[in-house]
Amino acid sequence: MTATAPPRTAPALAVSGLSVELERGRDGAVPIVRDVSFTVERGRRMGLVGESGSGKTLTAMAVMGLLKRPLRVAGGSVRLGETELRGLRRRSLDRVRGGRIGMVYQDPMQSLNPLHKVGDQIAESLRLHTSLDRRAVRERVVELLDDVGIHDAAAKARAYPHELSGGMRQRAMIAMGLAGDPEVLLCDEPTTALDVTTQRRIVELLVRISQERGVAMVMITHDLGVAAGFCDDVAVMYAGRIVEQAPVRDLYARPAHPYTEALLSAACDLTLPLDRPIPTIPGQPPLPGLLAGGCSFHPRCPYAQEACAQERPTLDGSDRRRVACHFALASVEQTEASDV
Amino acid sequence: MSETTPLLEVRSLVKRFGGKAVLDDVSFTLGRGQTLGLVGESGSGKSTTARCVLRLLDADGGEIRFDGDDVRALGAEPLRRLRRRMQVVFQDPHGSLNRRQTVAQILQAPLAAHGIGDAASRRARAAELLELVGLAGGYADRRPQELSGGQAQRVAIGRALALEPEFVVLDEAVSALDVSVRAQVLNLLKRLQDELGLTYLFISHDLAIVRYMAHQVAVMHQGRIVEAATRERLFEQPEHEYTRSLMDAIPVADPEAEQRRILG
Repeated sequence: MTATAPPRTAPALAVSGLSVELERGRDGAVPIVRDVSFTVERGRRMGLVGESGSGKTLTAMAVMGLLKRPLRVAGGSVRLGETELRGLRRRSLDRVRGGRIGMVYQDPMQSLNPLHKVGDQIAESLRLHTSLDRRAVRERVVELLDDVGIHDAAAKARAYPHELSGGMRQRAMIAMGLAGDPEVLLCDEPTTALDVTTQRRIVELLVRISQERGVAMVMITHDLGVAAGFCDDVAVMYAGRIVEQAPVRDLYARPAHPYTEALLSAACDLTLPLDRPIPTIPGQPPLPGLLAGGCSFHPRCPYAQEACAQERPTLDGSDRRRVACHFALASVEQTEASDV
Repeated sequence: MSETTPLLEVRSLVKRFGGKAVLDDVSFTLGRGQTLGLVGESGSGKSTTARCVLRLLDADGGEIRFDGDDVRALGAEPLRRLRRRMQVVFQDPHGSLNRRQTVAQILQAPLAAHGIGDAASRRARAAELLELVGLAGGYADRRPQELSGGQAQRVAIGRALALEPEFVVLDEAVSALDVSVRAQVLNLLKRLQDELGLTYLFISHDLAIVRYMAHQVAVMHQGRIVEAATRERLFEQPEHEYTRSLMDAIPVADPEAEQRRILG
């Protein structure tokens, strides 16, 4: 690539070496997210999967520049296309957020203002991030609500958030996230608060939007079933680090990290054998600041050996398939399908 | 009452909020040592049903019989005696435990409230309960905020078992837990049922978990039971369209199958 190459050749989002820490005054800082790297191409969907405390949500907040003290980004880079977001001044960052990069949260009530009509809130985002005039904004609001599958969009634009069902509110949130015509959409547990039948429809909607508009998406989820349907690639986080990343089919068919394998076997679906206990991971996820030496997972790992307690395995492999384990369960040298 | 009669019988239960029926003609029976899974989406009436059974809410119509007793007609004192025999575990373990108390105090509280035993015997019972729920060693003096979600839920289960109840309502009791911890707690609940002969009303929005836990399943939708059957029959031959739509919506950890369904 030369310096004159068009910007399109850069991935939509490239996170590299991102670390987050918790300031503790004189006691220094506790690392919470460590050395997280991943890229998402235009129109592709990446999943960040992990249990509570794994650092997946803080990673997303760090990408958006939304961390508040005592949490802070301790290092790394976040590139949106050609633009480095770290170190960007407040005003420039405000233009980017809600513009080139949007966010959808778990609970729409948290981010929709209950005192304002849904349509007015989307209009506000359009005024901030586009040059549309008043009338065009009004039309665009209805168009966006219609795009996310809200029937009778013109009437719903005049509704207050509490007048909509949970699924409809999440659709309105997605419409708001799309208002600035983003290149990247971060979705933090977007279906967790919803009933299963609604959940599926929201996942379908997000997939369709990423395909039609070429939006790169990152979904943060604890739900391996939801990730299976949504993602092209999945990164599994444990104790603040990515421990495995793979194209979605490889990850589920041949997990390379013992933690991924254990998570998949502990998940409940309709195939679970009824006559015996569910396979479990012994113990609890570790607390930040109380991590074991070596591999953070080794105290809970059925395959752990001496080396695991002594030396932390690095995240090795190819671009799309990496694992951090001294005794990986599957080869990461090749991936099954380049495309899914 | 004889061992062969059901422990719980609910007939034509009705509950209205502000004139609107939130429970409409809900009926089921639950045998001793069995688990009835009550499944449905939010607002379907699952928790309201449980609250009426426990008489945390007064029903507006219908009949609830627990071991033959007419629950709706019980006066204060018989109700108090009955409450020893029926317990509940809620979704949010941290929200339901008193932050100012230690784990040992939390476990002794129901015994003290019912005037059972002396200080020494209550302490011994608390230790026994910790052992029972897999928290032996070092947890007695901790406070809820020092526990993980899974540990706190084990304490809530221990507290529910303190009075040796026959019947426990588990209201979304594992919904807030992480995958790896949820599996541990489900295994624990099954083991406790086998060991203590407990009868469970297992409320969940998650059909996959209900399938694992329940002998009988009732599917609720908009305040009514739309389908009730044994687990085997319900999962092999779901008859109601709503049951089928719930089953189809469960995501499976299989990318090929999931993406085929989503992309059509």
